[in-house]
Amino acid sequence: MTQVSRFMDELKKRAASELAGLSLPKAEKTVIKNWDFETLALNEVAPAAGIPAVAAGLVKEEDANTVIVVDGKIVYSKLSDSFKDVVIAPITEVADEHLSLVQEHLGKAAPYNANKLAAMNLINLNGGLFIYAPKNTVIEEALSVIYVQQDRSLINRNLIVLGQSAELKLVEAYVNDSKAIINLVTEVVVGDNAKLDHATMERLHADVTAYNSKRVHVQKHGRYDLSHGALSDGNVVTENLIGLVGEGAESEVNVVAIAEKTQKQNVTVMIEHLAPRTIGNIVNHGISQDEAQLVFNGIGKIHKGMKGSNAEQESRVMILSENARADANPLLLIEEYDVMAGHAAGVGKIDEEQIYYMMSRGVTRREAELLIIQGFLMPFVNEISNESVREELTKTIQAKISA
Amino acid sequence: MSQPVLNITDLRATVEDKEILKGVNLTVKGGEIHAIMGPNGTGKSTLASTIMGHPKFEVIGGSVQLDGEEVLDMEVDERGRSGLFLAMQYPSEVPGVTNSDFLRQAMQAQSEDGKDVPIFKFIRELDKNVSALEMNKDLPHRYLNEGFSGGEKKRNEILQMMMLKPKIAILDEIDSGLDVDAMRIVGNAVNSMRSSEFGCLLITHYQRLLDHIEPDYVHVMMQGRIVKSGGKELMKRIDTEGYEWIKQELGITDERVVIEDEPKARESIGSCATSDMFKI
Repeated sequence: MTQVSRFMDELKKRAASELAGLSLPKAEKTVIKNWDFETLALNEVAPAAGIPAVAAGLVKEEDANTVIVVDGKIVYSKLSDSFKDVVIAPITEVADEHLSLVQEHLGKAAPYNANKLAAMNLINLNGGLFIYAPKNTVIEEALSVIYVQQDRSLINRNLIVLGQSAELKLVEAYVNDSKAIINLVTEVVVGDNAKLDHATMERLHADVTAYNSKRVHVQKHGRYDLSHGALSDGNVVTENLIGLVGEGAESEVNVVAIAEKTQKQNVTVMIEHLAPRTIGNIVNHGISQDEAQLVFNGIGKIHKGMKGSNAEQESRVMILSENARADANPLLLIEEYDVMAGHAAGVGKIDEEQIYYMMSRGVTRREAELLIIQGFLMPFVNEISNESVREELTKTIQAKISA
Repeated sequence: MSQPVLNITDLRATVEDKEILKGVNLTVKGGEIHAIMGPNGTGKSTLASTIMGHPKFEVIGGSVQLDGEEVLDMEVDERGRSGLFLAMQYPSEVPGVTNSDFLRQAMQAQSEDGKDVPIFKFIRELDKNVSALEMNKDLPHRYLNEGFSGGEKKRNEILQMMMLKPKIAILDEIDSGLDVDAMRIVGNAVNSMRSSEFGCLLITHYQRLLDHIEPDYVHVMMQGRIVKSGGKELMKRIDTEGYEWIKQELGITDERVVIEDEPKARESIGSCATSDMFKI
């Protein structure tokens, strides 16, 4: 047994001992107590090598720098020389040379006892990657990782560490096409002056119940940018919680979410200013149609003494059907005077004046609506650096809104 | 192509149950430029919006025919495709939709055989018109009217008109928000479209625009109908003497039917939360 796995077992034991006292995450304005997160299927699996059908649209043969993980096992990996200094390993097989890193970071930004699901994630984990870009590693090309759930519950935990002044572009997609319980925790540490450009997409089946949590620490003058596409068909609790722990750290989080049919999507984005002169910006755009429910909770929190910080946020939801529901809850918690902060939030229907204007030029009502909705969601897509993922995302969005 | 004819007969319309148009009669043919003048609140913009089919206005009588087809039976988009164009007083902003994408889709919708608009031809024409209107080169890639100044919005309306080549264009106070230079540019653009296949109805309460676009016919609107028609001489007399003499001549004391108010930006605001709602 390696020292790393001994360390992790120790953490798991502690998580297990505290589990009974923990409650579900607080998904404000969504009742999740009856969602089934716990009937886990944790059987052994042996996924076939190669690109599974459900991920086919996300990766082309010619795409460089792609890793595909099925039910927690790496089944495909193609990396250029640019990534020779980057460690990419299953979280359950981290070599002992990285023991001190794992000890230093695992469970720090994403504590195992943050809530019941976080603890269950650690106790039962059966997938996930350890990605480490050492000090001064700067890579222009993007790394794509596709996580596929196939034959068991996916309990995935990633630990992503960027050393001082490292720069990485990481695109991650989570896909499946059948009923499943999925529990994802991604823990990110962006070192001093480092920069992570992170794009994530989640496209899970209608019968999926999922918890998708990202917890990030950004150190001195580091920068963490996230574009997240919440495009699943099932019920999902999403958390993107960013702690700006070092002076001058910055983060920008863009979320696009589509809720349709009877699904419920609860998305919380929090940027916490734990050091002076930190800058956070949250932009959430979503649509809710049919009988779906979409909730955006945007939180900017500036702690006392964190002078010169700036917390901005905007959440907007378009409601496209009579019975669809949506909430946009902006929250600014400011304990310091010498700061800037702002929020905007809105829930509404498509503006009839816009429809009239566009129709007057000859386009039909439906065409006008599609243009407006696409325009509302697309700026997010254009931020994604991987072309295959961007195309797939565009396709997914178009399919969802024109259904 | 033949000479289009727009026939407005005894058009009456209400907004929120108040009658604004009280029987408008007007014929605009290809090759002609008509100007409708008149003080604020006399129904000029209501006429434009009613012809285009704005949902706020309800037609209670009369007809509007384009080349013999009843426009009032058509949806707004059908009116657009039939060859009507309204340069709006307050064009909507549509974030996320670029000018060029929107224009291309509109041209696509209007192409008679449903064929794709050839991309190179489209770009060439767009570039040409953007320069003719002395607009910024980045305009095609900017979002539709978003963050445009008043003058830029008006030029953008004219740009759409030049690209879509309507049979009959109605320009609703295209001169408001334009400085002297922009007025000349817009005037030249409208003049460049003059042909027997294009008729134009200008709505304005200033005479300034008419220095650049010479109308063939001038109409004065008061109390929801056209009360006086003439040629250039009518325009010149209004320019020097105002409207008072017309009111006296016709025995009108209050020329208004509506106090036109500017549209307000609509926005619903989410709830502001209190500090202990979230603990994560």
